[in-house]
Amino acid sequence: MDKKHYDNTINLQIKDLFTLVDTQAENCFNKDKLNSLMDMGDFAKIKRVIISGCGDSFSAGGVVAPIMKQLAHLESAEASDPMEYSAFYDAEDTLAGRNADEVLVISISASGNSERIINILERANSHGVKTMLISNNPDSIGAQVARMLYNVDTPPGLNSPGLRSYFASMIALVSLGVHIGYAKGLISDDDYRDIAISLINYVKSYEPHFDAIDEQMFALGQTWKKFARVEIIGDEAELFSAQFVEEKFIECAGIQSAHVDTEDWCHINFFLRNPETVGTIFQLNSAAPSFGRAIESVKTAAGVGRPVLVVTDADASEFPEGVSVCQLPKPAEEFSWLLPIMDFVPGSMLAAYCAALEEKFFFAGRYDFRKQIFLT
Amino acid sequence: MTKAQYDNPLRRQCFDLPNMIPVQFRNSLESVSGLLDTIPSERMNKIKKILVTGCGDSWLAAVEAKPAFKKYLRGTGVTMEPLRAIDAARYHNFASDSSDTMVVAISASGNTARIVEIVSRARKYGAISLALTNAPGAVAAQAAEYVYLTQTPEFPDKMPGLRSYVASLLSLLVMAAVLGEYYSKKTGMVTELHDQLLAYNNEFASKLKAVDDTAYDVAGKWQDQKSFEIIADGPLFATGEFVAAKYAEISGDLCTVIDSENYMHVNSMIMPKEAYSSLIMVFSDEDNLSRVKKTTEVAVNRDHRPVYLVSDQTPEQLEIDAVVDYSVIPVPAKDLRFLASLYAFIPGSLVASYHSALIEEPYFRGGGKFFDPTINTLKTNPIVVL
Repeated sequence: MDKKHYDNTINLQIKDLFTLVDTQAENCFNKDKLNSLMDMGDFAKIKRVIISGCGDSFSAGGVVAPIMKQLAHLESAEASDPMEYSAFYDAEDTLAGRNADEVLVISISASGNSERIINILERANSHGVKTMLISNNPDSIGAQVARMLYNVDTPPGLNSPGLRSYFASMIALVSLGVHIGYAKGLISDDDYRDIAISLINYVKSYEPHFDAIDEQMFALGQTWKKFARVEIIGDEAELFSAQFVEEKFIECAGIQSAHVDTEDWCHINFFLRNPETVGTIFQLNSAAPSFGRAIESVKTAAGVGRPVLVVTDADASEFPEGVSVCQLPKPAEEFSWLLPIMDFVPGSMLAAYCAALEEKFFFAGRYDFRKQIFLT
Repeated sequence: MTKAQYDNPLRRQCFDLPNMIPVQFRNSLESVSGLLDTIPSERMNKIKKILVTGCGDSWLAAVEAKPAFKKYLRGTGVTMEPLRAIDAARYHNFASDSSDTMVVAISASGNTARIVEIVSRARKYGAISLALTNAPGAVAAQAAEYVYLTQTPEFPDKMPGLRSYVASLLSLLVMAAVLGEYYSKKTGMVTELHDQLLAYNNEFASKLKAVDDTAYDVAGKWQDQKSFEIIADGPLFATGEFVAAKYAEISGDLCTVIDSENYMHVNSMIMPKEAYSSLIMVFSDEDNLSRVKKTTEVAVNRDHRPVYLVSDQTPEQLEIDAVVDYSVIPVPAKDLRFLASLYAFIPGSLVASYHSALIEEPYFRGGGKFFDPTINTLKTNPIVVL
């Protein structure tokens, strides 16, 4: 079997991240650019951040919300799905006891033109809070509705299914967290630079492992391609990177997929019938406070007969025999929060190979991942 | 074949709810009132944050109860936040002095390791720790400082958890009203909740048979479907997650839940499209209606999905042209919309229950390895108090 025949726009995009990270970091860890959005005093006032967007953008918000909270000492940071925010949040929900100038609502959309994105921004505007669109399109309607436009300025390139845009959104959100922390005096100039460099270095640290991860996911795809159901399990930030991988399984392979946390999975979806046909991915950060509980959940999944892939920076010896472990580069201890910025890589590759090996085109058959064109 | 042949424990629990709910209200009120007499007022008066958490269905009850706390605690300076169990146990940053916090950990059985961990953690940081449970002798009740006993009325069918979910949710609603009166020094909240609940309960009871007939019909049509998905927004999203949990437990199907916008972006690409059926839930006076209408049209007309629409209006009244099965359910006024959470799961749960009966799938896969204590370690996995 010639693996090259199954090359696709997921693994090609992932390869591109090793250079894209330089561009995105330069575009985003840019004090002058961020200070042109609002002055340092206004950044320093921010206590609460709400992030919303559609599809991958919602996932990006969920991954980075706890990271922003940590970096900027926010009282609250949350991701809200697009319908929840645009149709159900009232001013009381948005403010949650804070003053309007202490709350920032961020909407993410590469194109910036979706109706829902505009609804989100309009609703937040009506609550009097700061609003920002993170986008790649400064001429969009959303850019006009938002009080601030954060242009991530991602260079043209592959983005079907959305992966580079997801990555760019996460970099932008991390930089915002750092900048708010900087404005509050929590992060020094040196720390500001160190965080950016650490992020770049961490992304690049995948490059030497790319071929091995790619081979492992290709090999796993030979059996996983037949599964009708996939679950991706993780906690806190990893819960949302799990959601991103879920989205790739659906977009690439059309496989019904779900994401869930390590505790609740044991209470509910553990009971799915024919467990040997439910691909189960755990995305686990060895530095996370729930890591010990997660190991128990992995044992439970393996014990009930699930095919299990653990994507983690922990040693494979932590997990029971028979479980596939994809070992990720370990971030430096003080930057353990970087793991969920990249741990979507193996699961996304696996999703794409599950499609390619079955000769399924992406997006419900509409996207030829070899010719890189939409068919209709 | 007749519907009666497919009667089942989940269905029976649904049908008993109109009987159970008034009794549960009284029992919960009695318990929570007693609790207020027990917790020293100097501790109660310090409370600014109420964190409510639980595993599985119990977490969903916390989410569903949030609007009631928002209504009744408005202006008091006290807020409620639902937390996933894993977040409460391992991620939430408790202040070293958390005496301004009350942690309510829900577990009907009271024997889940994570719940013991949560109440122990709350105690460690000086928060009021409260186990909301139906099991006064269970480990969670012993680990917590205080116990809010649901005193759920006995019923022959206990599994899968549905009455326990309703008992937890209603106990939270009652607690919200009682605490509202306590902190605002106003009266009438409990009475309002009681009166509106009973009126809504009667209204829903009158629709139950019609809903059941449709649910049976839908389950028959969906019997050979590959799987199921629920499309719902806002508070109904958690309702959808409850129904999805019932599918997992009783028929073993993976039922996914997605909001009406992200269905268009992502889940509409699950293949083959027509092999997945959708339960779509919406209330006609909410701001998401136009999106749900378009999504319904797409799910039916483009994706060829069979759709069961649950709403307070008919498809015709909603101006949905797509051909769908539907049930009309009553809806409380917006101010008390949270009461719908006590009943809105019924149509979907009935479909799930008939599906399980039709395919003759044993609940919880009939035990075996799913309850092997070396595999299912919910009660025994290590407790770590961070």
